[in-house]
Amino acid sequence: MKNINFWMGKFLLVSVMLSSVLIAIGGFLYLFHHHPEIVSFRTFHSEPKNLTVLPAMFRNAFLLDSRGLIQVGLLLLFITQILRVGATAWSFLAQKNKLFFGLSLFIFLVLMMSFFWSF
Amino acid sequence: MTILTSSELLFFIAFFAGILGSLTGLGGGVILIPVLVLLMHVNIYYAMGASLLSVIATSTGTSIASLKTGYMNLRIGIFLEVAAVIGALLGAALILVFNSNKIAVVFGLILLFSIYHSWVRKEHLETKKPSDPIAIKLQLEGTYPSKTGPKSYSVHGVFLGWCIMFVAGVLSSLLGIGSGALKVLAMDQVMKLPYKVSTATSNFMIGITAAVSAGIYFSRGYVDPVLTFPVVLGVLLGSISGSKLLHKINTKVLRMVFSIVVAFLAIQMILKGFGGSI
Repeated sequence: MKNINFWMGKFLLVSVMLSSVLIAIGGFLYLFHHHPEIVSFRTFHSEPKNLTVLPAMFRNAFLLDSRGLIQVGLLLLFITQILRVGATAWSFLAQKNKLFFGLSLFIFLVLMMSFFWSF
Repeated sequence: MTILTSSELLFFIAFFAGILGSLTGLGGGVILIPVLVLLMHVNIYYAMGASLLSVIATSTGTSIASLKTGYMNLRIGIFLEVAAVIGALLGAALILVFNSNKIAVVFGLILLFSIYHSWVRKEHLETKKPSDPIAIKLQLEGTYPSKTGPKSYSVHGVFLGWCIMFVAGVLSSLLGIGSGALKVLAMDQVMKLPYKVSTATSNFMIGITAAVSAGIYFSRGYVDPVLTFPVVLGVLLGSISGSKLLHKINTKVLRMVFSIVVAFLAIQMILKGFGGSI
């Protein structure tokens, strides 16, 4: 168990750092290009499709679109949690603990559903 | 204001929210959203989106430390998380049913409750009573590290704890917060776990609950990258700084001032919600 915790800790650390870097790069890139524009977050109008639909987000990030990069960085935070639960389910399976494998699998499936919701 | 000014301001607000959240244990989301909505005039849905992602980020960050200390009880976490996850799905659906004003009122009430509870915690000595039979059946008991070696603890109130977790999940999703305070309450007061076990396990759970609604938030367009980027970075840096300052600051005075300010914001949220101006 100690070994798993050690690697999980490393994985989480790397992912938070990677997310932060992507968000920061995207953010500074955006500021660089748009900093004098006036902005208001008062009214809600749903984000354009290319920032809410997963495949489009990745495509944008790849093209180094600043907002796409930010979204992918944020998405990575979300994906990390999914992977974490997946790894937990796996470790219960390896320990042949059917009950907890089942419970964590359930949570994993709900997370996957949420992930695909944004396709 | 320009994007540059707005981003700088948002970063600092988020940074302080992160510090205060980690020093007082009340979490970033509960302070962040009212400040964004009331002071920066950010639309509540965008504020929720930014807050939720910040919650995932800080939960991931803080649980790294929890993994090393050995207080986290993985089985209790997973078991209770099933409830929270189902609750989160319901909460996401409720966002569409409630309008933004109702959400603001609920938010204010939860905020007041959080403050009240943060002062009124009943210290419970580790009971010698045997665990809840369900806990034994599900192998939820655990041990935590201490100077004299691993100490075992008993687990109680499993059913009620599970139900409270469900509510925590609904609120997390409905309001865009972590519901850490409620989760800790359930484990600490109802299930009578040692406090450090409750907080460590809660850290683990918060990120998962928030992640459930994250996909839904993304698809509904609540996550605005231009708003979210300074906020997430600010809260993350703030909570890291906060945890480093924990030993050096007299938190009691801070919590007092903080509680008063947050209570004021909570009442504002409720009044504005009733007035229909959110």
